[in-house]
Amino acid sequence: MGANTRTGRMMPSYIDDRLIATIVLTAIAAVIPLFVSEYVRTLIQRCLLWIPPTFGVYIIYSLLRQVHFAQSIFIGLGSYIAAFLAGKYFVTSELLILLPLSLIVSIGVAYVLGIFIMRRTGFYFAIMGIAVTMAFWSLVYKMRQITGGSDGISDIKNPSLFGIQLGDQGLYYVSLVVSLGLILLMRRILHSPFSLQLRAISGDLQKAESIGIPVNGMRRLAFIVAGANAGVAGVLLAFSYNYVGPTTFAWEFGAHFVQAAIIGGVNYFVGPIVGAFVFVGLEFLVSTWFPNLWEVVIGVIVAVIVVTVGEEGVTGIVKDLFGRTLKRANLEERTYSDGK
Amino acid sequence: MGNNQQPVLLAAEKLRKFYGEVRAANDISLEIAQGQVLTLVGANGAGKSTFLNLLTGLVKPDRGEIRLLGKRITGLAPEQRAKMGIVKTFQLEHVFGDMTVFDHVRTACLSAAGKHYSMFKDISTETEINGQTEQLLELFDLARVSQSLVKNLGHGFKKVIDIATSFAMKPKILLVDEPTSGVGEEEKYHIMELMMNQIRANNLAAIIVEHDLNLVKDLSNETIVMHEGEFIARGAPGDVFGQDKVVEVLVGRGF
Repeated sequence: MGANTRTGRMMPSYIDDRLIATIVLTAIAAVIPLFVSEYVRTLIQRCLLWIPPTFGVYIIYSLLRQVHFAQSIFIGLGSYIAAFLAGKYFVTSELLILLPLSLIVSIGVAYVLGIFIMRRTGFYFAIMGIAVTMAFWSLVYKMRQITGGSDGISDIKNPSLFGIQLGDQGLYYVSLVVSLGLILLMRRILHSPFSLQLRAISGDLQKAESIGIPVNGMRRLAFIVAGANAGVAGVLLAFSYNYVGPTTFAWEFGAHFVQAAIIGGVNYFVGPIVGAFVFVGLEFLVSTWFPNLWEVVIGVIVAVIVVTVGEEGVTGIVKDLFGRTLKRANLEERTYSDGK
Repeated sequence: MGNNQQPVLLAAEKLRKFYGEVRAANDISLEIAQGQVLTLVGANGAGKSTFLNLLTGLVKPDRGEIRLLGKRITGLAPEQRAKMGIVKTFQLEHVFGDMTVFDHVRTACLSAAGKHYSMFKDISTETEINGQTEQLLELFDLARVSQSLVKNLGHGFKKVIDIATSFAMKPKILLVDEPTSGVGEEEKYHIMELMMNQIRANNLAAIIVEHDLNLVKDLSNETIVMHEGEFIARGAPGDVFGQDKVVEVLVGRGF
């Protein structure tokens, strides 16, 4: 018990509340396709698939204090792997092959890119991310013979799992399981010895070096973790959109995950989840009414959030609004339970 | 030098580092054995910090060699040297402000155990590391602020946290750059006592840079005076501080 109170941050006493919240939300996500239209289900599926890449941005920001614009590279890699193998050159649509393959490719590419990108911090890190992303975009755009150039690759049929062809609903559940699995994995990683030492690197570089932390290697691994998340999500996003184009690689697309992370609030673990849902939801709502304006609207929202609540994001606002109500409810509960 | 029957732990041979015209280290050599505590004094800009940084690897020498237990380590990075037992505490504030005191010390314990890439283990299950951390906090009288954020604590606390974190690395030699700069008189002696007790208890070698000459006399019976990148005097503090050239360097020509 003593050890637990000492390590407080890691083992909060209200862990059960969180567990319950996770189970309830997962249950809602699991049964909701039975009650909503196909369109809404697809929308929720996209929200779910936006969570892992946004978590990548979140990890790089919350642990290393760097802004990661290059997630689109890994989404692009995953998407094109799916489009090539399951669409254009139909080889296999088996997710048990596509997902691990994308994971391995993402890890490999992130390892190589990390050698260069992770040697720089701050402004230069952000700019290098954008530069590399643009190089990838241009390559895919120009290699028309293979990639279809600006037309991209369309008509990607649904994948199979264990050899069984998945329907649209099956794809939704796969997305839910993959997204949830990655969220739980990220939670574990954020509470690991690895993450604590990453926080040391962003806290004070010289001090971190002076206590033997291998700064470059650890930064590179963080970059790989972020990229792997996006790579896996990329495969499922390709199936979700039935289409892959070079804009998947565009740095503006990578910037969307930064915006989602900011909207959600980089101070909270649930930030990326909230951010993914708010971003994709807003994109849908605004583009229904003003097809050309959704990026403007989201840009304004991001600007307002940065100026007013900063790193707290929507999660912080919600917590502020409902925190008092929640606290009152908790207090009442306690008065009753004291009587026992 | 190696005359107290102990083998040489750390040896610097003709280390040189010039910054343009400024001679921060001018072919300086030093040998230090296990358990030997040296103090290093000198005016601002004499090259004391540069010398410590050369030993830790934060500064690369223009020429010269550094050996640890006979092994050449001149080309190694700071983090590698820290792993081998050459650990420095900083003069200015270098702490992880956003961490709790517990996490601050725990980070170094994890690093010393080589658990850098342990991603899939929950940190609260690292019972051995957590136990070590608690022990260190007890030794340095930090247990009562264990859960405070480092940035919210005073200057003296930060110094002690820095020192405790260095001890988590299980150092062979501790390089201490002005442990008490900017700390009040009373706290100063407390910090020094905490540190010296641990240095002696673990029979560590140490090089301590200190401005307060009274404190220097208490710390060790061997002091080195540095001036313009060179060691100009060495010996018992009482004898050394009496020498004319030392007075001139430390106090100024006007006297």
